[in-house]
Amino acid sequence: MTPGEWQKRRGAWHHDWLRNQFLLLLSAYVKIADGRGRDAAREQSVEYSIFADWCCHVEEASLLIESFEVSMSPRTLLDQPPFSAAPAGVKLWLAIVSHELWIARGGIEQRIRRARIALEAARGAFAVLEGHWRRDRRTAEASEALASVLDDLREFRNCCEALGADFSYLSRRVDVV
Amino acid sequence: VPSDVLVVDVTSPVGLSVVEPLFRAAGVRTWVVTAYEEEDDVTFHPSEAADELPKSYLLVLWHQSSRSVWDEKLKLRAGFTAALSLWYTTASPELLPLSISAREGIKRQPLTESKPLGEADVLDLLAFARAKARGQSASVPVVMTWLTRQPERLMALSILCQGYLASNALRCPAEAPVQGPFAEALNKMGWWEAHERIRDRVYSEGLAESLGAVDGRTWWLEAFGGNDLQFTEATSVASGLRFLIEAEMRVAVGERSGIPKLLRWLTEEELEICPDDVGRAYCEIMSLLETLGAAG
Repeated sequence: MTPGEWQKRRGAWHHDWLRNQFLLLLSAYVKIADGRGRDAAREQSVEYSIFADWCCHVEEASLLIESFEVSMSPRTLLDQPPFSAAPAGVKLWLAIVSHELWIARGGIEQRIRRARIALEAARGAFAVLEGHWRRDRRTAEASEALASVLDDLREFRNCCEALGADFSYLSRRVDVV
Repeated sequence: VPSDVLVVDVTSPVGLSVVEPLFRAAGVRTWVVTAYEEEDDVTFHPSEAADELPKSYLLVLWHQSSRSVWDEKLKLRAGFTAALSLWYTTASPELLPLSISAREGIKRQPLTESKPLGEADVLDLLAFARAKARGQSASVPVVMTWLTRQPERLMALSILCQGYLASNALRCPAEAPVQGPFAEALNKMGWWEAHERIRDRVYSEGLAESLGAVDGRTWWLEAFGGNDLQFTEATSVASGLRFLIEAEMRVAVGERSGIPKLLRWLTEEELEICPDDVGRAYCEIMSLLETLGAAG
């Protein structure tokens, strides 16, 4: 993935979807489950709104995290002007230096590790939420089932917030210094 | 200071109609040269003035595909001179040959009604050209800074500085400095955290023998222009870099000390440079990139 593609997909996932859509939706469901607001339509659409939406987007998060180092390293600049025509030997040395310095200076491996851990935590919280919801929904109305998974819903929202925070440390631009 | 303007264009049959009134309003006479690259003939507009055409211009604008006409037929062969010579195009700068894009340029088509120069552009360009003719510094006109969507050259220069400083630190580990611009740059670029991995890669990739190349101008110029540059083009790339970097920064590099010295060294044989000079330039670039919001 080129830096431009990665940046675009990062923006679509982190800013457009997670921050401005999914977290707001989760907060709305927490409010409903907590009894602070009734919304019959939302109560009936938990599986579609939350579960399907999460499943549609979670793999994109994984792909962005795993491709960050390759896509956003300053060595990618060596394939672009003004370096495009530089001799291979010059490019190889600059690629090694710029990449390794970036990894060390920016704590890149730690950032990726943190984002991975946050994603796994969110996946785990989602699995618990979904399992409890499906179990409770068999014997209860949607509003009751929702109330019964309030803690799971809160935990999942907190994990998604933490994921958003850790994801933001994966820089939006190619950092050279 | 010369006062006339010359436009050289092998792509447009249009003569003076669009461009002349603009410069006339600014009190400047305009001449247009059209030609076909395969032919020797050039046509001057107005045609009746061919015999009295000035040889010295305040400003020459040449379409990016007309470089050979300006460079070879007029400037070199016929001895025309210009205080400021700019290419123009409406194509993306990334599509231009480096030997052209490293020179000063504008994204306009002065001869046509599509994307012509504006009145403010004309006044800015003339003021800039006059200052240049007098050897004075002046801010780069906005119309000349269009190509700086991101500070590509400044970022590239910072990577070259890293390559140079890392090579010097690796080759002389016992002499690694503890203070001064070299030491400061090594600290800022994360050298001490990364140097073992870099050293391992150097040996595994068989690069140890070639590390000394960073001390020569050729290494820097090839990185920017490729290994097929002729000497004259390398010189123009080096001098063009200073302009491009100034345009990217939107401030004069003369306000600093490290970057101008590094850029001067690229074109001046008698000048020498050492790790402290490059370290100073690197720290200045880092600070500029942070100011521009392109780092940190």
